[in-house]
Amino acid sequence: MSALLEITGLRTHFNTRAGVVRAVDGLDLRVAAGEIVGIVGESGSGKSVASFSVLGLVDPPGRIVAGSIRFRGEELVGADPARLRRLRGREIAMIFQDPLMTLTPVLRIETQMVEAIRAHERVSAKAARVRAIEALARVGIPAPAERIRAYPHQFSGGMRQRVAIAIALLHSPALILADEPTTALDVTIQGQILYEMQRLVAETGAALVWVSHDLAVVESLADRVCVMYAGRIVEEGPAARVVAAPAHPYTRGLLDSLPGGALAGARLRQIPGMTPSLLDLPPGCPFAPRCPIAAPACASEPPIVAIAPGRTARCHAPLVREEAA
Amino acid sequence: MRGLATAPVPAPQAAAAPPHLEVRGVTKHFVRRPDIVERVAIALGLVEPPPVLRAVDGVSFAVARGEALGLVGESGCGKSTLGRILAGVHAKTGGDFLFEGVEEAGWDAARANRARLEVQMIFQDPMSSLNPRKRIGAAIGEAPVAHGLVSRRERDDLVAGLMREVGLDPSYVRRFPHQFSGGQRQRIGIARALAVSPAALVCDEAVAALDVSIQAQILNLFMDLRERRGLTYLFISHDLGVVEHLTDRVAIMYLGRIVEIGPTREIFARPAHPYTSALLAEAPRVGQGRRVYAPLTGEIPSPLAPPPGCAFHTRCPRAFARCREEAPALKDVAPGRAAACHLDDRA
Repeated sequence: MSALLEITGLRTHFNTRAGVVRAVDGLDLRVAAGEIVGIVGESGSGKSVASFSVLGLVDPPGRIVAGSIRFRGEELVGADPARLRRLRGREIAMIFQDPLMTLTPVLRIETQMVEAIRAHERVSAKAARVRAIEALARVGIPAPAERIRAYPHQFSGGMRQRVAIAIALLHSPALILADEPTTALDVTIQGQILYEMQRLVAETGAALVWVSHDLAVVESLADRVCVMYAGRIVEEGPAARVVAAPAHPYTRGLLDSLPGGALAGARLRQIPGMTPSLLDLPPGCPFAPRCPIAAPACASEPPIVAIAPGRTARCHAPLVREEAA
Repeated sequence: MRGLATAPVPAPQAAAAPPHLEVRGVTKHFVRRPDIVERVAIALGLVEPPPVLRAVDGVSFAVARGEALGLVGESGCGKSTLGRILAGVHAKTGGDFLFEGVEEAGWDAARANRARLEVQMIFQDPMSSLNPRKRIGAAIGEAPVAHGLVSRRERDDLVAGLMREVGLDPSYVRRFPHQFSGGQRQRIGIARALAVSPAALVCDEAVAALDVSIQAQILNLFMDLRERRGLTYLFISHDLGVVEHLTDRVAIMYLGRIVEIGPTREIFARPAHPYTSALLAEAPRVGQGRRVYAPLTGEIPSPLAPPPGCAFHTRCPRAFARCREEAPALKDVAPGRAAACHLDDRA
């Protein structure tokens, strides 16, 4: 199966006065057409920088220093900015946590959507407006023909995110990168947005990369989950399997940290310490200083171990091993 | 493993002692103050006066000493405003606040002082309550000196002790807030609240901004403090997992009112109010696998113009005629449990 998106050995570094911040440091990721992939990680794990890198949206002092990003076989690292601009919004769309990153506050939704359509297609303003209204209706905005005349501040947070999603879907992109799009929303609103996303992805056949800190949301949505720590993927596999039997001690720690459920009231098994500074990562496994089962071997670079078909962990001593077949 | 939620908690009505904190029919209204031109126009009847936002609209509940009550709801439901009224940050518009069973009107100077000092608040973003130019030792030690709880000389020992208690290295006492991570800053916020020896903590989304692994550390700290100091908690959160983990009882709020209140475990197992059911159903949980989300139902009302009748009827899958006309009262549905829903009358 050929991949829609194929990232190999991606390194995005930020040269700061304090030193080199290795935000993404050796990322490998494949996304097939129509697939839903979840990327889970805490702040500073590099999950957002990774998705920004795909779109060429990393601002200086950030720079892709190594690796390749192929979209339908076409290399995006070092590609012509004009080419990237044609891809962005048309073939690859992005949804941000804060919809105001997509929307300008000073223009009506209508102006912004019509412009977004006509940036990529030669259509009349009238035809573009009709399509914009259709797009708003598709994401569940009531009375779209009237609401399109509104400014972003006249929408609630959930409605604004729907507008951002409608814009992302205008050109039926093959790949949607969603960076924490429901994090700022209430649970019932989040449920509605997740419903719309599920439906739209199923209808259009777009591939979706859902970046989030929330393991539960990712599990409910994704076919495959990638857990990121300190700029690289430490575990990857089918979402349900990873949650049921995590192989990497960090994934185990994340799951144990979640409050609620059967053990409510008991002490949580916290991960000691805090996320490492990306300025001076320890050699070897970056999780070793916080790992409950760290061994001397962890001072060397951990290998990528195959746990089961389609499941890998970057660990010297994964918690589960491939069952003898 | 010691279960904190299973610790014996005296039921408010059964215990001889009055509840630690209690509110009766508390309301808080916010009105935008019209400017002079608008006031003239209103006086002449040319424009309508600005609408009243009923952030908290007649809320009653009691918290026993040492009990942890969760306050759950979505943005704009009034849970933070209610917490601030209890912590003395906001003045209430109406209703009663009882401290140790005594109404505010009956407080003498000593009790008024205690009601203020003994209920402390912890905010979501500790950075917004810390002066960035003040060393954290000074920030933690300021209030107890100002209130005459310790002398200036004893202050350093108190600060060092508090820092150890919340898991901060006392050698950091001369650092500034920006030199700490988010989790450490929240520990500073907690140490600062503990400095005046409170009996109750109002935690307003205190772990919402933290990463999962750091959040677990702070939740453990809250549980340790409760055990060590016998604190009463009002835990305000939109995160159902956090509330389930930490609280004995929970109150669910919707548009300024409590729609359901009762023991946390029972409500999570068998919600009585349709809104509680919806909240629990929508919140994804780890281990549930893939799921199909349900479509949009109903319109989310504005707190400026709440719908007539039950505020939830616009989104309620089981609403009937009466829900659109008459607001349901909060009434007992089981021992220690109450819900505000007309469906309970039909059964």
